[in-house]
Amino acid sequence: MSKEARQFLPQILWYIAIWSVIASALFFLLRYRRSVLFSQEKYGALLTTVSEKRQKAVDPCQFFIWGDPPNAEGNFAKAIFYCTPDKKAVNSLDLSVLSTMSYKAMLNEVGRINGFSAEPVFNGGDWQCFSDREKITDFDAKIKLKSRVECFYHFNQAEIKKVYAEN
Amino acid sequence: MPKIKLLITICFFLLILAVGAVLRWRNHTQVPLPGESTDEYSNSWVGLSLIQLGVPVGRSGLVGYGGSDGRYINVDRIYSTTAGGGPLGINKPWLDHPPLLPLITGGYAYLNGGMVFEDATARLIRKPMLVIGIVNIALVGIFAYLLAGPEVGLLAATLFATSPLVVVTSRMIQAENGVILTWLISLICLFIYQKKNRPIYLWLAALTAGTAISFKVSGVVAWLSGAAILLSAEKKTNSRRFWETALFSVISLSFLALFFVYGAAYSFSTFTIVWQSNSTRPYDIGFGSLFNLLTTTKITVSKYLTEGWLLVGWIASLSIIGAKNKKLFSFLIVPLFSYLIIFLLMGGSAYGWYRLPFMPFLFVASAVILAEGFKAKEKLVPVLLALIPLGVTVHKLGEIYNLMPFSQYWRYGLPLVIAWFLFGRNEKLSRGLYFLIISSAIGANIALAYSLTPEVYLKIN
Repeated sequence: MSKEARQFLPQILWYIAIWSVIASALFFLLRYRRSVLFSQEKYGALLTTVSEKRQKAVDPCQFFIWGDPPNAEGNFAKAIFYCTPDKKAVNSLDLSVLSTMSYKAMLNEVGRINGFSAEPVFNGGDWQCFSDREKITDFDAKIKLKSRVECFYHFNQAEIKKVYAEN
Repeated sequence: MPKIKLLITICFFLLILAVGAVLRWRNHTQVPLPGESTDEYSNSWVGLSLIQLGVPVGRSGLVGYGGSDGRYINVDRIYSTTAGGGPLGINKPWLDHPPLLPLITGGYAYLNGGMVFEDATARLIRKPMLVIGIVNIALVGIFAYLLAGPEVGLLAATLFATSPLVVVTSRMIQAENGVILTWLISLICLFIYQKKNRPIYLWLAALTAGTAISFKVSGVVAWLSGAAILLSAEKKTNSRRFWETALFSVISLSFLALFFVYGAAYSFSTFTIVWQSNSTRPYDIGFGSLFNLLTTTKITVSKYLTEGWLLVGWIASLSIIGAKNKKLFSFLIVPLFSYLIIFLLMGGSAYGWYRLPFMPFLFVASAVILAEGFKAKEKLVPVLLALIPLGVTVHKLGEIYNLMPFSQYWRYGLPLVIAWFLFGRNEKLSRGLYFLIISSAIGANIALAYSLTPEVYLKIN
C-alpha cells in the first residue's frame, strides 16, 4: 500500500461509515416526520388558506383573475362582477380546481382567490346573477362549461339590459 | 502588502459590498416581478411544507409525476398580474431538486410567521437571497484576489456588485445563486489547499462542493471542476493526485447520494420517474444553445436584460486560455468550461437563471483583462472591451432618461477615444482616460441597476 493510500483510505472509509449512519438516520427521520405530521386536511389548509396578511378586497370588483387558463381545454367559466356601471372585474377560472361543479363553489373559489366573501352574492337582494344571460335561481345547480356567470350589484333590469346590449 | 494599502483595500472592499447591498435591496420585492417565475414561490413552499407537513410540496411542470393537483394560490396577488389564469400544478412529494434552498427560504418564511403558502410573499422570501447575493460579491472578490491580486479582486467584486443583470437575478429564489455561493467557497478552499497542503482545506472544499449539489443537481459542477483541478495539480505524484481526488469525490458525491436517500424516503418510484423526466426535458442542445448563451442575457424564459459584460467575459476567457497562465487556467477556465458541459447537458438556454453559475468566472475574467490593461502599454483591446458594456448600458439608460443632449458628445467622443488609443503616445493620459472609461462603465452599471423600478423593468429588454 502506498503512503498516500495509507493516508487517504482510512479517511474515506471513516467518512463512508459516518455517512451511512447519517443517511440511515435521515431516511428514518423523514419517514417518521411524514407519518406524524402529514394529513390531507393540513395539506389542503396549507395550500388554500387565505393569508391573514393579505389585503382583503373591499368589493368583488377590486381584484380579478387575469387571463384565460391555458390548459383548461374547455373546462373553465368566467365570473364577471359589476359593482357600479363603470366598475367591473372579469375572472377566468379553471373548473378542475372545484370539488363540486356548482355556481356556488365557483363563486366561492373566486371569492377565496380574490379575498372577498361570496355569501352576499348568493343571498339575493343586492346581487343578481346570470349564467349566459339566464338568471341563476339555484346556486347549487351544476355550472355550465365555458359559461359567463355575471353578477350585478344594485343594478335594475334596464341597467342590466344596457350592459348586455353593449357586450 | 503594506498596512496602509491593506487598509485602503479593505475599506474599498467594504464600500463595494455596501453599494452591492443597496442595489440589491432597492425594489427587491418588485423586480423581478412577483410571479414572473412561480418557481420562486415553489422553492419556498417546498421548505414550508417540509417543515409543517413532513412532505415536500411544490409546483412542477414535469410529466413524470403523472398529473398534478391544480390550485389557485394567490400569493402577492399574482393572478391579477403575472401568473395568467391557470391554476398552479402542485405535486407531492415534490422531488424535482434537492431541498437545501427550499429549507433556507421556506425556513426563513416559517421563522417569520409564514404558516400557509400565501404567506410566502416575495417581500419575505427574497430576504435570504439578498444575504446570499452580498456574500457572493465578497466571494467573487476574494476568489479574484487569490488568483490575480488585490486590484483584480476589487475590480471583479465591483463589476459583480453593480452589474444590473446580476443585481436582478441575485434576488431570485433560484438554486443557482446557492450553487455560486458554495462552488466559490469550494474553489477558494481548493486554492488554499494547493498552496498550504493542509487536509482541512481539502475536506472543506469537498464538503462545500457537496453542498452545491444539495442546492441543485447541476451543482455537481463543483465536484467536476474540483476533481479536474486536483487531477491536474502540478508538483504532485500520480498516486497523491489520485487519492486526493478520490477523497474529494467520495465526500462531494455523497451529497448526491443523500438526495437519492431523501427521494427514497418519500417514494423511490416517483423519485426515479421524476429523475428520468428531468433528464429528458426538451432542451436546446447544440450550437443554438451556445449561440444564445454568447449573444443574449436573460432573466427568465422570455425576459431579457441586455448587458455587455458577459460577452466581455467570454472574450476575456478565450484570451486567458491563450495566455497559458496555469493558475488562471485551473481556477477560471476549468470551472467555466466544466459548467458549460453541465449547461449543455442539463441546462440549455430556456431559463435565464441556468446561466448564473457562469457569471462569477466571466466577471473575474473580465476584471483580469481590464486590470492588465492598466499596466499594458497597448490599451486598445481592453479599451474596446470596456466600451462594449459601457455602450450597451448607456443605450439602456437612454431608454429611461433623455440622453439626447449628450448624444453628440458620445458620437464624436467615441471615435476620438479609439483614435487616441491607436495613435496617442502619452502614457499618463492614456492611463487616465482608460480609468475614466472603466469608471464610466461602472457608473452606468450603478445608474441602470438603481433605476430598475417595475415600470422601467417592464419597458427595457
